[in-house]
Amino acid sequence: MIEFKDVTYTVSGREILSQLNLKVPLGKTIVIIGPSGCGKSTLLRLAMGLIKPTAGQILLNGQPLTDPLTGKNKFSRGMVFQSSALFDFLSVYDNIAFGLQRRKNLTPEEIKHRVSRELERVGLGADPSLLTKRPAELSGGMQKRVALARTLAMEPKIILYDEPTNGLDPIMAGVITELILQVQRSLGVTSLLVTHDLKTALRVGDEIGLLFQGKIRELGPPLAIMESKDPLLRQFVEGVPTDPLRTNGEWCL
Amino acid sequence: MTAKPRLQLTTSRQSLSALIGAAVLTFISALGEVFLYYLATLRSVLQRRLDWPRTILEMNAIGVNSLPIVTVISSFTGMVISLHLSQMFVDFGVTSQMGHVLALAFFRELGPVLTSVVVAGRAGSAIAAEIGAMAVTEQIDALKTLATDPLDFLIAPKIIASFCLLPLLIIVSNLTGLLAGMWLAIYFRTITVLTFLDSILTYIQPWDLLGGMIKGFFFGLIIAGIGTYYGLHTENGAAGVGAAATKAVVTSTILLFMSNYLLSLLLYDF
Repeated sequence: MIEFKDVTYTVSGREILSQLNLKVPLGKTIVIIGPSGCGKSTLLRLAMGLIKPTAGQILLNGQPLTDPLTGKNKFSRGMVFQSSALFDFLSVYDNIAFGLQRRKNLTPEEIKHRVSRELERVGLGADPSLLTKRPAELSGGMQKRVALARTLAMEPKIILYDEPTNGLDPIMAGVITELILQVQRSLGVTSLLVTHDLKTALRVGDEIGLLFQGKIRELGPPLAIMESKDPLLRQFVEGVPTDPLRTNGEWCL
Repeated sequence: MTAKPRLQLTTSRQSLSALIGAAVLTFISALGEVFLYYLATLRSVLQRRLDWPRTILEMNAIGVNSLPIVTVISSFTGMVISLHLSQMFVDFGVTSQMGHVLALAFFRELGPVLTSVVVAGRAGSAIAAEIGAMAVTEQIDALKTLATDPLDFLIAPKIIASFCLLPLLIIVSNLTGLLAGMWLAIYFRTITVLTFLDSILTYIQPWDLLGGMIKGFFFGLIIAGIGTYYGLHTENGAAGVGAAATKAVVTSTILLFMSNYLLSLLLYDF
């Protein structure tokens, strides 16, 4: 379980997150929606331990979050980035095997097995020539799937997804959404997903919350969110480009 | 009516001091950060966490791939200096000094400075661009999520490669510059090989060569450190990557010339 307790994050005097409270229960998927620039990615970077909160605390199973490089549970969290963030100087195989090769307890055979298993899981196992390709030779959808395979290969207990369907066509977005759902069901991982894609949010989220002005509003099951009378949520759901989500001519803050 | 211009003058003076103050603070903070990279590199080597395969690749990229351009630039510089000096030495009847002067110029100054400027332009910009592109595409964060310290995997190999290879490139530059200069002096000015070499062996001290190589270690650190700094501070996508590469070359070139003066003072004037 991940818990944000009164978390504030400030950059250059600007409060991105303000005394935010959020609980992601074990084995559940929480989706955070909200307009661009609201601090959704910041929330994930905090949960991953890539940045530290200005104030407040982030707890992982009741214990303070540790450094992703040196902490005791450094392999317990995995993140799928908005830009896929595949290493462009490595092949697909080496990208997926990268984290595994840094684990001292795995043999080359085990690494090879895990790479094939995860490629199979994300639907890319049929084409062996893919293994030697560089990320630049792949389509956006394939890059996202390889990025998901790289994360899954580390067998994390918690997966953080940053805009997983961003920039994809509706069909590929659907494929990625189904993959996320399948991963949750088969592996029972705890997931925190941020997106502005409502379709994905409604499909995969056990609970959905809107991030606005540094705080979570209206965290609830998908149906309740769709039926919410909150004017902010209504505006986001209906995609109306005027107030109240726009404040002082700027989105969010 | 008269108070207004005075007020404006005061305000502009204040803003100028504020600007200078901010620039000095930024410079000191950047310098501190670059020193932290060096310390992290040292820690990475001592704790045996350095990624050696990547370090070898970086040595190839920074050192071996710079060989052709270093050779060409040093040869032509050696020839052009020899072209001007050798005629003068023949006219004044001091051809016995020709080899010594050319060797001294290359060993102490031209070899280290030419090589480091070439490497700063070639490899320094590449370091900033590579790290910058990785930063804007979240690849550096991805390294951390896979429990890999970017300092061990990405930065330390570049710093080690630059630190180790610059002095070796300087030796190549010295040799090619000297050989090309000697060829011109012998072929066009009738200075004999024996006179040329005898002049070098008589007057040149091992310290002349060693001092230049010591400069190379410092220059290697400057090039890799500045490239890394601008790479890690890259923002604004592709345009930011280009800007980072340019800043890295400009800043490291200025610092190379400044530190060359200080090192010459320390190595040869005390």
